[in-house]
Amino acid sequence: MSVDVEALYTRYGPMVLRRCRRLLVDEEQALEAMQDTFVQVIRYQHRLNSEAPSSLLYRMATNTCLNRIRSRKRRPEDADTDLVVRIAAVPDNTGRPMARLLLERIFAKEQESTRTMAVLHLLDGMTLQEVADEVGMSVSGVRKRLRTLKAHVAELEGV
Amino acid sequence: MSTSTDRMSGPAAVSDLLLERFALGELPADRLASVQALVDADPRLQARLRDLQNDSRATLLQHPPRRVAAEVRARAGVAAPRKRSPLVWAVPGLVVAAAALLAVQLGSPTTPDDLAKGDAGTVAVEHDPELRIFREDDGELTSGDAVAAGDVLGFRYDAAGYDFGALFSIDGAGVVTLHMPEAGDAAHRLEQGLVTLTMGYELDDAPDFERFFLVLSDHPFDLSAVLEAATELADDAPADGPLRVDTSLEVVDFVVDKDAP
Repeated sequence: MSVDVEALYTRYGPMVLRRCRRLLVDEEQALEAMQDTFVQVIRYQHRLNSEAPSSLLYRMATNTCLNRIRSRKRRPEDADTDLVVRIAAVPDNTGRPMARLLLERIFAKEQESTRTMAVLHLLDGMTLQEVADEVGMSVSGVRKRLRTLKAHVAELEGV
Repeated sequence: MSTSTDRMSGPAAVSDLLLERFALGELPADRLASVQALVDADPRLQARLRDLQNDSRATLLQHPPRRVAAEVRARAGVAAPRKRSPLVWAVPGLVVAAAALLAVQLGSPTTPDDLAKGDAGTVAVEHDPELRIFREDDGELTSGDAVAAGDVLGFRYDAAGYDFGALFSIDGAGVVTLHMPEAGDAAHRLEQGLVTLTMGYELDDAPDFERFFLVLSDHPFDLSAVLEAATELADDAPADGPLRVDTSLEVVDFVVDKDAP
């Protein structure tokens, strides 16, 4: 399918920007992350097959922001930001570039980024069942992945 | 930054993503019904939805789709698509449908104008309704200002207590274009306060002028009859003739000049 980025932005851009603002706080960074999300949609549009892409774009925006946080290594500003920073700092389980990994996972319905699931659960307050429904995994699978991530976070903090 | 606790506390625990999908009309039917029930029962959720809608309008106004799309395409290294019809970034129908649904669910936000309404449902208008038009990347226009083909216009209205309305325009070629609602025979349920429409209108190369009409009423009215009057005006004296509609309707017009230097 061919992506009409203007129509896609008109429909989903405000949602994506809200997501980026929430995670990045900084308005300029949020705007750039929002555009990054749509750039990725264009580049991987041949693999875009969702009929209701709001959820997909929301997760793409989440991961895009996590990558930005990870790269800038900013200091936490409050409790939420601190949590996001710690999640973003956790290495994912592959050496492939993050953006490509994300898109492969989302577009090809491969495994969702553990970090994204962690944000959905720990920051957004979604239940394990809601996260599982969102990413197409079992609750036990989500729980296991989050347990692994929490161990990484604890390791990073030297707990 | 608000916390997940702020957003997820109490019995109406609805995540941001769930609320976004609800507002976009992208929830499956069973989930839609359950969230709808929560929204109906919880003023906090209703407030979150209103905030979300207002934020979306503000975002599209501050970061217009045409400009953002061009920047995204440039960053992605792809060419712009071929020029489309004059309605270049009208909100897709589903969004409008969802917004309309929410408007029905939530009613209009309480404003001083609501307080002006009498007990019998009549409207005690304390100020005149307004139609404001602005040009993308430029600013607010005054009626009579010069514009050019390709300019993208945005709209704001102040219904001044009127509950129903429609916005359309007649161009120098005699073409009538309906802007609000996008389609149908029923007048649009108006919000109160200064409302920004989440759509833009790119002027085509029709000559001389584009004349915009905001028609308002405190009761639902037959939009087809109003558009029929608009068509008659377009055939007769579209530049300055009166729009001959039922006298119970309030009419605000605004013209932009396409031939002025």
